[in-house]
Amino acid sequence: MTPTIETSLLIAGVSMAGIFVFMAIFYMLIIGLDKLLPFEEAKPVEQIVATSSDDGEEEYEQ
Amino acid sequence: MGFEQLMPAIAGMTWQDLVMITIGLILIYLAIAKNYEPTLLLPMGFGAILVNIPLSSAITQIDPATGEAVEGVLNVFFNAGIATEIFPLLIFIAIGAMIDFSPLFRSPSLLLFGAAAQFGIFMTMVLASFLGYDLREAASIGIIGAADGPTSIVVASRFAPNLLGPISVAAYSYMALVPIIQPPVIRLLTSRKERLIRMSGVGHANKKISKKALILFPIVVTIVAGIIAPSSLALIGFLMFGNLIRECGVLNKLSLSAQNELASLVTILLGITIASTMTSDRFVRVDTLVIIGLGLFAFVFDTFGGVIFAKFLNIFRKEGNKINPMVGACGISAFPMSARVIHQMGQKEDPYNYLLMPAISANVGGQIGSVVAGGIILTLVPLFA
Repeated sequence: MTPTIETSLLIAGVSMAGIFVFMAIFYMLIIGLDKLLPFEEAKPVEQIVATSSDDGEEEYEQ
Repeated sequence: MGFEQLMPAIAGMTWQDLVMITIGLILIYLAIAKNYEPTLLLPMGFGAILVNIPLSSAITQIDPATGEAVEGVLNVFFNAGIATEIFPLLIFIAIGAMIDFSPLFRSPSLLLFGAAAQFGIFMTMVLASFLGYDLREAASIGIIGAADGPTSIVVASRFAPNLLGPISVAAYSYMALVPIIQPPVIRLLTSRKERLIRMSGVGHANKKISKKALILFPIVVTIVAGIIAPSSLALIGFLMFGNLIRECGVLNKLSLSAQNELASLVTILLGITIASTMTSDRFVRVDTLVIIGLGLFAFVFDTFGGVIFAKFLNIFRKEGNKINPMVGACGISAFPMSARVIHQMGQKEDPYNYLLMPAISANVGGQIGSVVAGGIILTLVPLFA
C-alpha cells in the first residue's frame, strides 16, 4: 500500500466521520430551533382589532 | 499561397480536434433531445466546438507574426470567474435561494442521509489514489460523487485545474443520469418487502414551521460551520446567504432575481467557460475515460451508502417506524431529481405508497451534505498533500 493510498484512506475515514458530526450538529440545531421557536398561528385581523380595542378601553377606564 | 495559409483551420485540424467537436455535438444532442441538464451541457457542448477549431480566437493563441499570446475571451472568463471561484459561488447564492429547508424541519432525522450518501466521494478518492492519481487529483475526482456541479468545480479548480473539464462533464452528465443510475443499484440492494415500507411513522408531513426558525437556520449554520471548519465557509456561507435572502421575507425581489436572473446568467457563463478547458490536448486522453468511469463509480457508491445506512438504522427502529431504504439513496445532492425517482420507484411497487415528502427531506439533506463534504475536503487535503 502506497503512502498516498494510506493518506486517502485516512482522509476518507476522517471526512465521513466529520460529515456525520456536522449533520448531527445541524440535526440538533433544527430540533433546538423548532423547540425554541414553534410555529404560531397568525391571529386573524378581527382578533387583532378586537384585542387592540380592548386594550384601548382598559387604558380609557384607568 | 498554399492551402495551409488559405485555410489554416482546416489544415491545422487533427483527429483529436474532430473527436472533441463530436463530443460537443453529442453534449448538445443530449441537452436538446434528451433534456439532460440542458442548462449546462448545451453551453459546454457549444464551447467544446468553439475551442477545438484550430486557431480559434475564443481561446488564447500565439500570434505567429509577433510570437505574443493573444488572450481569448474564454480564458479571460476562466481567469475571472472560475480560477477565482466567483462563478460557482454565485451559483451557490442562487441555489440557496431555491432551497426550502422546511422539509428538514418536518423530518430532521433524514438529514443524516445527506451524510451517508457522500460515501461514494471517499470510496472514489481512495480508488483514484490506487490508480495512481495524487491526493489533490484523487479528491477532485472523488468530489464528482457530491452530485453537485458547483462544489465539484470549486474543488477541482483549486486542486486539479488540469482535470476541470472532464470532472465537470462527468458531474453534470451523471446528475442528469440519476434516473438511470440509481434504480438498478437500489433494486440490487433491497428486497421487495423493504421497498414496500411506508413511512407514515417518520416525521410530520403537514407540520407548519415557524418563519423565525427558518430565518435563523442559515445564520446559525453559517456560524457553526465557520467555527468548526473556516475553509468550508465560502461554500456553506454563500449557500446559506442565498437561503437567508429567500426566507427573510423582506427581499423577495432579490430572492426571485437570485433564483432566476442570477442563476441563468452565471449558468450561461459557467458552462461555456468550463468548455475552455475542453481542448483536445487536455481532453482526448485515457485520463478522461478513467475519470468518467470513476464518476459513475462515485454515484453508484453514493447510492450504496445511503441505502445501506437506512438498512442499518432499521435494525434499531420499531416496526411501523422503519425507513424505506430507497429513501436513503436520496441523500445525494441531485435535487429534486433523486427524490422524484425514489417516489416513482415506490409507487411502482405500491401505488398507494407516497414517499415524496421523506424523499425530499433526505434530498435537501443531501444538498447540505455535499457542500459540507466539499468544505471538509478543502480543509483536510491541503493538510496532507
